[in-house]
Amino acid sequence: MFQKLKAGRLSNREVTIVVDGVTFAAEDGEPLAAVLLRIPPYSARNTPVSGAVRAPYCMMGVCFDCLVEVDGETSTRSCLTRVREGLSVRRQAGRPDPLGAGTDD
Amino acid sequence: MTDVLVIGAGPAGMSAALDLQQRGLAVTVVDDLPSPGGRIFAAIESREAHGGEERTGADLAARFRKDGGTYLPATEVWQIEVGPRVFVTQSGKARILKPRFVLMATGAQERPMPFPGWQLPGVMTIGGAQILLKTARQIPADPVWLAGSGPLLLLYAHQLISAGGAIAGVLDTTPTGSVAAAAKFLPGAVPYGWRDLARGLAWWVGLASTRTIRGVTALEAVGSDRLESIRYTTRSGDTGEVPAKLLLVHDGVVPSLHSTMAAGCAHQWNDAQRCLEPIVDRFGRSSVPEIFVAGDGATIAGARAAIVSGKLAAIGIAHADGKVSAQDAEVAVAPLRRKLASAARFRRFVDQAYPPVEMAIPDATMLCRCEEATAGQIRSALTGRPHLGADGVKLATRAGMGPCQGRQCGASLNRLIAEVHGVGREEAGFLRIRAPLKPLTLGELASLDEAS
Repeated sequence: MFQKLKAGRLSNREVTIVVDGVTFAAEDGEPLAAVLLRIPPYSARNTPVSGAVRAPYCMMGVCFDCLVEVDGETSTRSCLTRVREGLSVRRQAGRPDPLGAGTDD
Repeated sequence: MTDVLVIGAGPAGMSAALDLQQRGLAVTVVDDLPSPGGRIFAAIESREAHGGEERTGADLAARFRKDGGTYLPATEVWQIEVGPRVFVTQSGKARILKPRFVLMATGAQERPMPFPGWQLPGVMTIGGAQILLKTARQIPADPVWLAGSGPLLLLYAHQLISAGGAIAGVLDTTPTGSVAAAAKFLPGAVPYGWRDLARGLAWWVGLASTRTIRGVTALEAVGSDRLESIRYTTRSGDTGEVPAKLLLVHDGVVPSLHSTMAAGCAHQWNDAQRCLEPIVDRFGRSSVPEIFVAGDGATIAGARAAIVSGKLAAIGIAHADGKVSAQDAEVAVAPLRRKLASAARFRRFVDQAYPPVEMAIPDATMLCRCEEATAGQIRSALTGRPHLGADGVKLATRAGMGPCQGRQCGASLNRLIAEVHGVGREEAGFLRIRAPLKPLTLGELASLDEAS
C-alpha cells in the first residue's frame, strides 16, 4: 500500500524484524506501523467485536486500530513503536488472552 | 525534584521548558514519542528540515536537548489527580510525579471524519500519511485519492507530488464560496501569515491539473475486507464511484482533550473551530490552578503560535510561583500577546476559508470504530431519552468504551447528542474521561512505587 521513497531503498541502518513468523527488512527507528503498511496484507489486527480487519489509520496514537503484539506484549500501538533489530511482532486477532500473551499457538 | 511537569515535547512544550529552566524552575518533560518535536516536527532531528518553520523546529529541539530540563521520551501519562499527582509509564515501569505545576502541551489530533466504511483498511488520515512521510520517508505506492478540506490537504498534496508520488484525484468538501468569503479577513491575516499564504497559493496552483471533484457532501468507502472503491455525492446531487486502493481524509485538527478533561479542567465550545477547548486565562492557566495549558491543546493556532504560547504559559507559571512579579509578568507577556493576536487574525482567515466541514453522518456509519457502534444505533438510543448524555449513551451502546477512549468518536457523539436532543454542542457535553488514559498492563501497574 505504501513504499519507501526511491523505490524501496532503506537509507538508515537496515534491521530485520519478524512479523507472524516471516522475516522482513526494515529501517532502524521507523514506526512499526509503517512496516505493516508496506507488507501484505497491509493490516494490523482483527477486531474483538466482529473480527473485521483493521489497519493503521491515524499514525499518531489516537485511533488504536494498529494494535499488535510486540515481543509478547499485546495491544501495543504499532504507530508509536519504533523498529529495532529482532523485534518480534504478531498481528492481533480478536481480544488478546491475558494469560496467553507471548506464547505460541 | 520537579517544580513543573510539562506534558508534551512539541513546539509549545519545548519552548515552555526552555523558558522555565532559564527562570530557575526545575522542569521534567514527558512525551509519548521517542524524540522531541511532537507531531508537527516528528523525527525533526533525523531528517532534513524543509523551509524556515522546520529549521525553527530543528533549532528548538537542539536547544531543548541541551537546556530543557529532565526529558523523559517514550513516556505515557495515564492518570492525573489533584495535587497534582501525575502517573506515568516508561519502559514498562510506572511511577508518580508530584510537581507543583503541570503544563499541558498535548497538541492536536485530526478531527474525526466519520462516513460509511471509514474503518476499512485502505482509508487513513492525511495527517497519518504525512507522519509516514516524515518518520519513515514513505509514500502511497499507487495514485492516491484525497478527500476533505483544509490547508493540510494542500500541503500533503504538494509534499507527495514533490516526493515523486501521484494523486488520482481530490474529493473536495470545502463549502462553495468559503475561500471568497474569507477575503475580508485577508488583510488581517497577512502580517503573521504572508509566507503561509504565498505557499498555500502555490500548493493550490500546483493542484490545478489534478482531477478534482468539488462540493462533495457525502462519501462512502466500499469494500469487503479493504477499500475497493469510493462513492461520493456532490451538492448539486451528482453521484459517482471511483476504484481506489487508498483514500486519505482530512477535516482539520482539534485540541487533544483527554489530558485536560481527565484533570478536571473546565472546557468551552469554540464555534468558529467547532471543537471543545479548555478554558484558560491570559497566562494560560486553566480552571484548575496548578494546571496551565499551551499550544494547540489550548486552542488551534499552529506550531509557530504554539512556541509563543508555551513561553507565555511559562511566564504565567513563574508568576504563579512567585518567581516573577505581576508587573514584570505583564511586561514580559505583552509582546507575546501581540504575536498571538496576530496569529489569531491569520487563523480567522484560515477558519473562514476552510471551515470545519462536519459532513452529515448517515446511520450506517460505524461511529465508534473500537466497539463498532453505528450512528443509527446511537441515534435510536438517544431518541426519546432527552436525559441521556454522552456517558448514558456510552452505557447503552458501548460507543466510547473501547481502547481509544472516545478519541475517535467523542466529538461525533457530541454532535449526535446535540442533533437528536436539539441542544447546543457545549450543552451536549463530552464523555467523562477516566484513567487509565492509555492502556496499561497489570505488570506496569504492579511496578508502581508510591515513594518514587
